[in-house]
Amino acid sequence: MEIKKAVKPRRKIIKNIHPYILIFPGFFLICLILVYPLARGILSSFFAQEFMSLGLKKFVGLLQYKRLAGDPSFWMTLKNTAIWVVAVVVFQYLFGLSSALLLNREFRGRGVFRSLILIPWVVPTIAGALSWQWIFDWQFGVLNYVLKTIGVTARGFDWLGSIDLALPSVISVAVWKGGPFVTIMLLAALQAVDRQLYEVAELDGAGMLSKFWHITMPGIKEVTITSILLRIIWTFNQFDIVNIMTNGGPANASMILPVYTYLTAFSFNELNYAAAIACVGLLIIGVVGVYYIVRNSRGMGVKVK
Amino acid sequence: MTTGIKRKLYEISGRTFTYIAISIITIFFVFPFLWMVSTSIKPATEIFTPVPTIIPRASTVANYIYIFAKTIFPTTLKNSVIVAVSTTAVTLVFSVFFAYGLARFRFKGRTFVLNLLILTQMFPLSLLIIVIFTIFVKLNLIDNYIALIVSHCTFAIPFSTIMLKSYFDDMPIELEEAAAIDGCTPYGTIFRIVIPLASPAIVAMGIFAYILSWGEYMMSLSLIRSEAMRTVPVQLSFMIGFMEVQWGPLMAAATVITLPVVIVFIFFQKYMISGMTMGAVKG
Repeated sequence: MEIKKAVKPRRKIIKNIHPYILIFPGFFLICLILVYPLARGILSSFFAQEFMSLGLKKFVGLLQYKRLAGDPSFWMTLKNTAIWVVAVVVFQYLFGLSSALLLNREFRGRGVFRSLILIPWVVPTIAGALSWQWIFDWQFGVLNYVLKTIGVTARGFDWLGSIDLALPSVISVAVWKGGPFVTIMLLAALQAVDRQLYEVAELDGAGMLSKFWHITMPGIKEVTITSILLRIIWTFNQFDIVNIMTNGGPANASMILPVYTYLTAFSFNELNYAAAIACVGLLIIGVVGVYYIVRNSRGMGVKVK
Repeated sequence: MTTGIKRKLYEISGRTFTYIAISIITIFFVFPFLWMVSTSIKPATEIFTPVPTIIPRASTVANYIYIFAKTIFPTTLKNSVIVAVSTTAVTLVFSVFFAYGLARFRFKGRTFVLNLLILTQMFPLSLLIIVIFTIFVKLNLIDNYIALIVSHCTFAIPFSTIMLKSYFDDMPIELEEAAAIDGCTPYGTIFRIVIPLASPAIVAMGIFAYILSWGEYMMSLSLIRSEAMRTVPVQLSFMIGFMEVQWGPLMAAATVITLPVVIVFIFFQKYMISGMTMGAVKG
């Protein structure tokens, strides 16, 4: 490092301590609040439950996992989680891509539209969720009012209270909350695509669709993959929206893994069992996470949350 | 001549399509926010009516007066401000040091630490919270600001460190070298040279940390037991649990915590967006 060259040799040892001093406070917190709890959480999933605490006294091997395999609520939760992640990420991407493509055109008021579309990204999740809950309200909600007015339904739907609609309803809220992230990422990528490519293609007589498939999509491929990976991870771990709006109900119809873990731990006080549930999730999402890290270290990724 | 008109027509229809399509998408993203604000300034009679209105016929501040005068909302608002401001301050100090250490020094374990920072952002909070809860019980810090501040900081630090590090990477090193030759320690260099130069990125990361802490829900739900220590997001989630939901006051409270961040975001969005997409355009 250039800085080191300027330093006299006898002070070199002290100088070499500097990076460690600089990173220590942050690194310590991360180990205490993120790394240690993860390790301890994984470990405790192999131990027997103790009263009101996270047992680490009696090793029981895979007992918690055996119990999990025979828990129908868990399988239901796993199925819901799969639907939740796939639907949320697909729709977020569709919304993100279409809005980014539109915002990449030149028209008056573009900046205003961009700012407006990004609003959900900064609205506190609780405020967004409550507002949606009010929109979904069975009796006085504006959504049912609109549907009744245009004649889709006479009585209105019980969006969050019915088994068929609860999961799709919370999915649409998650799409709303996370869609703008995809918009920003893809818009930045679109703006970096070389304009000259389009001009050349036009000279060759390429149409809209062929320009889109052969220039736009390859141009934003890396960012597309990165943002989809990040959205999968984020959605898989998302807890707030479902906890606030349905808490997994009715009859587990909208139960997803993080909420199931949380309820098992804090409502039923089965901390070790909850740890086992979360570890299954960790195993699944770990595959995506490792793939993301490998891409990143090859310098292909985008370092963004 | 005719081709000219054709092209013009084509342009106009293209523009019309753009406006219609972007408007539909924008309505989906903005409506819940507008509806929240609109409901918050309606009297109860207008909220619970069969025919809803977007712009209130009779606007009122009664819902706001109610939540500030008759509920615990002001206390929870104070708690939220204390936690979010402290989180922002601690996060910035820790991550500026952290990022500078990673950007300007080559040392053993550097790659490991960098990968760890990326990896931690994927850790499932629902697993962590079980253990974090037991840690804070042991430390006797349940119902304490410190528990919230420490956990919020830890969630903000990895992201803001990665972002600041890539900002520092792009900054010219000459000034810092000159300072080192003049006998300035790395810490003096940080305060005298790095922080002033990197202020746009630091402001963006400060806003990011504030927003994260301001809206954080799961930790605040688990680590706080008494009503008087709750932050706004948790208090709001409790307000909805009981029999009849008072949508007016609830939306007023939601507006109070949303409006400031939306305004700040619109004001600083250039920094925030360039911070977020920094890596995106490099490839």
